[in-house]
This record gives sequence, C-alpha cells and structure tokens, in this order.
Amino acid sequence: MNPRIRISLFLLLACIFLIFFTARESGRFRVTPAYLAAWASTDTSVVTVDAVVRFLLEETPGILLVDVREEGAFTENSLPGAIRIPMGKIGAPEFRDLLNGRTGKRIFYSNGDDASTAALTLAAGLGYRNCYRMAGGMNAWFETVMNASFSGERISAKENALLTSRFEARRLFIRYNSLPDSLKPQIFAARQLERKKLDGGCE
Amino acid sequence: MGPIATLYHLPEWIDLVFALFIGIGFGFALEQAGFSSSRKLAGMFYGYDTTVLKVFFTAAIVALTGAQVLSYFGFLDLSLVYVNEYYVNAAIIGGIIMGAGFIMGGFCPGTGVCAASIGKIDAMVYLFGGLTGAFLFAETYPWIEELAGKNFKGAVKINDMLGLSPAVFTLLLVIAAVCLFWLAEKAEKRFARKEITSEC
Amino acid sequence: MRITQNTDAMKIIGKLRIILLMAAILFAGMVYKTMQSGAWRGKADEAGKMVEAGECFIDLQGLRESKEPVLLLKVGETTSDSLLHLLHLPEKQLTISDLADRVILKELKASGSRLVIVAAARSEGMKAWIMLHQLGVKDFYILSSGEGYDEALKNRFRPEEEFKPEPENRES
Repeated sequence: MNPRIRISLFLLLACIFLIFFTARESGRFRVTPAYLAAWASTDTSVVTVDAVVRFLLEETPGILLVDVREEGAFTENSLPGAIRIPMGKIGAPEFRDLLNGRTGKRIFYSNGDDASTAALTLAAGLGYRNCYRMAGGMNAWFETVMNASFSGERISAKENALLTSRFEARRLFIRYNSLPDSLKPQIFAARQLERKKLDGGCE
Repeated sequence: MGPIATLYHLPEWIDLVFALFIGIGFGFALEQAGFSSSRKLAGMFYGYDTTVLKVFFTAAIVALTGAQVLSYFGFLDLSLVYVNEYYVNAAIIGGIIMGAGFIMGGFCPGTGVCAASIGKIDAMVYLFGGLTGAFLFAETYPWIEELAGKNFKGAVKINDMLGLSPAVFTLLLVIAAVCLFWLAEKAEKRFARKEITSEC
Repeated sequence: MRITQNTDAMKIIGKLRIILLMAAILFAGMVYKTMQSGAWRGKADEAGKMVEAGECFIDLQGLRESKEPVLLLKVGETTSDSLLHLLHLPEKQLTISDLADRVILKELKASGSRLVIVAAARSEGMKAWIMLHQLGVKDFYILSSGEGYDEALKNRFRPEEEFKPEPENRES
C-alpha cells in the first residue's frame, strides 16, 4: 500500500480522535482536582495595589490588566490600559491565547475580591499560567491611590517614594478616565512623548 | 515554540546549533525528494510531475496534525508559535511574483539553495537573481511601503476566520490533501511527458 | 464468498497493522489524559455566568426560608456568627484540600441537603464554590451578607470635565 495512503489514514484517525476528545474537554478544567486544591490553599497569586501602580508607571511589558466587572462599571472607570472580559467568557477559546502565556502577568480585578477570585480560580483550573488578582480590587485602588495622603511631621524616604508613585498613578487614572474611549489607547504613547520632551531627547 | 534556549534557560548559541541541524535535515529531505531538479519543480506547473504538491502537502498535514496532538498533550504551547501577519495586497502581489519566478527559474528559494549546494550552476544564477531582487526590494521599500502595508489583517488563523475548531480544520485539511493527492495522480497521467526524465 | 471477503479484510488489516497500532497508542494516550482531568463535570463558562448573575450566593434570609434541609460547610477558618448559630443548622468542617477528596465529594453529593459554604474570607468561599461547581455538586451556595456577587464600589469617580487632550504638535 502506498505510504502516503497509510500516512493519510493515520492522520485522519488522529484528527477524528482530536475532534472527539477536544470537544469533550472544551471548556472544562485541565488541571487535576488535587492540583487546584493545593493552589487554592495558598494565596500566592495576589498582587497589591502598589505593585499594580509600579507596573503602570514603569509600563512593564507583558502586564495585562483584566477587568471582570459589568460593562457599565468598566465604562465608568477602569485601570489604565485594562481590557474587559466578562466572567462567562474566561474559558472562551477567543481569550485563551490572551490569558494563557509563559511570560508576562495577567492581573484580574473587580470592585472587591469576589469576582476577581472567581476569575482567577477559573483561570487556574483551566491551566492558564501567570494569572493573578489585585487584592481589594477597585475599592482598594480608591483607598490606596485616589485617597492617598500624608499626615504627620516627618516622612521617610520610602514613604515619600510610595506616596509620589501613588500621586502619579492618581493623575494617570484621572487623565485616562477623563478621555473619551477612542483616545484611551493613546495615553501611553502620549506619556512617552511627554517623557521625551522632558528629557530633551530626539524623536 | 519560543527559542529553546529561552524556554530551558540554556546559552543562546544552543539555538544556532538546533538551527544548523534543522537546516541540514531540511536540505537532506529536499535533496532526497529530488527537489534539486528544476524539471521536477517546474513539472508542478505543467502537470507532468506533482511531487512538489505531494511532498509539501504531506509535510504540512503531518506538521499540522502533529502540532495539534502535541498541543493536546501539553508538549507544545501553540500560543508561543509565531503566526505570520497577513497583508492581503502584499500576499497577492508577492505570490504572483514568486509564482512567476518559480515557473521561469524552476526553483524556489529553499530548493535553489539545495541545488546550488550540489553544484548546479542554474541554481546559483537563480539565487543570485533572488538576492538581487531582495536587495532591490529593500532599496525601493520607501516607495512601495504604503502599498505593502495596505489591508493589514494581523496574525489571523484560517480556522478562526472560518469559526472552526483547530481539530475540525485539521481534519478538513487532511481530507482536502487526500483529494488533491488523488487529483495529482490523475494529472500526472493526463499531462505525462515521456521526453522529460527526472535527473539527479 | 464470505470466507474470501473475510480473508481480504484480514489482509487489509495486516497491511495496516502498524497504522492501527499507532492509532491505538494515540487513542490510549488521549483516554489516559482525559481520565486525569475526568473528575471535572462542569464547564468553566457556566460557573462564570452563575457568579456574574449572583446565583452562587444565599443570605441569612434565604437560609431561613429554605425548605430543603441545609448543611453548612465551614471552609478553613471561620468566625462565629451569632445569627447563624441561632438557626441550629448541621455543620461540617472542611479545608480546601478536602474538596479534592473523592470520598468527601461523594458524601457531599449524597447528602441530599442544600450545601452552604461559610468562610471567614469570601474569596476562600468563592474558591471552594468554583471547585465544587466544576466537580458536579448541585444546589449549593456561598453565605453572603446580601451585597450581591461583588462588593459594591464604595467610591464614585468623577472625570475631570476641564481636561482636554492636547492637540498633536506637528513640528516641521
């Protein structure tokens, strides 16, 4: 028998098996229950608001902020550069490549901890790597960044640096959320241009 | 797949060693299939020799199915595999130029290198022409940049555009390949040229 | 005639024995992989939609009005709630790791009661809920204080109305 016919026959069988098994497993968790239970017992996939502030100000590459709130809440205000993925679509094939990667970080956030924890647990169960959640959500963001202030007579260098970055993040948040939706993606390019102007660099 | 050196924290020169072995393997496969013969390659367009279609399509469906199976078992992360970005205008115009060059020269870039390595002068001339064309493209790029960049679709995959799962698309492609193999056999009988024999 | 047909079939199978063997190995590998994650019954999207709609929560009022028997699942460390204590509901203490135990899971599914997860931190309760949902447990909820699926936003943001993006400065 022609070798090409044998190869084609094997490939046809392989494709049929793939269709059957991937359809069966589509949308289901890929890790074992024991693995997910062990993951859920620890709480290492959490980032603080100040860490997110640092990522935003340094424009750390590979960071993706994922808003899992309702559309109205996202439109009203969101973290700069964040995208919205509804809770019911965390496992959807169109977002698989976006949410699963060896490098970078995907950081879920919501108003508090509930929805972001749910999203993170779903992502962990689906085997998505490098997923985290922002502790406290937007409530913590408002408390830590938007309402940041200093009261006291002396400030240490560390506190000063922390406050400075929070104030800068506050300015970025206000500017970002004051822009019309069509201009929001350009804010980071505008910031780079500003920095070049301040440094006196060439275009 | 990302560079192996990055995935497993090895020195970067390891990637070049892998590239060397893959290149040797590819050249060996082309030569072993007889693709250093310009008559064999041109035969694809005249119909008397469809080896090019059979070999390359077999390689494509084996690679596609193998990638899907490896991805299923978690050995291959398809999100790390680079997908060429699709510029519609550039693909059509470039394809026409490439096809014309292929028919006239009887080689494509890979097979041209393969044939040149065994001393074929026509392949060396062909490669010189190809490199000249690449040089001219680079030099004239500012003038054609707008045309080349038009109709940009991003890194699209056909199965995503058709709304099919990768496994279903793979099956359809394998079935299409089998049909084409059958058609190729028919074409070879129909357009046979006894005066042209395959040569090394 | 029939014997000839059988012989022909056997001949074809003989020719394809390597292909069939490779296909069988591939099939066995896929079955093994499916069994590894075969404990999961639910789909991730269904769980996400239920969380979004707030269908995974129940408050004290809902507990009081519940006609089915209720079993409280105290996951991890829990604070004592005097109001909950007054309802005198049966309890079971669990850790998150226990949820992966097949015996415990079987017990929970066979309990015939409405399961209510009680956890000190709602995020812990949420993790447990997602796991149990995907493991195929039905009619179970997280005890909430009645705020819905996510804490309400406690602050209101007002955009700067005077803020206008600067026009692009084209320098020749």
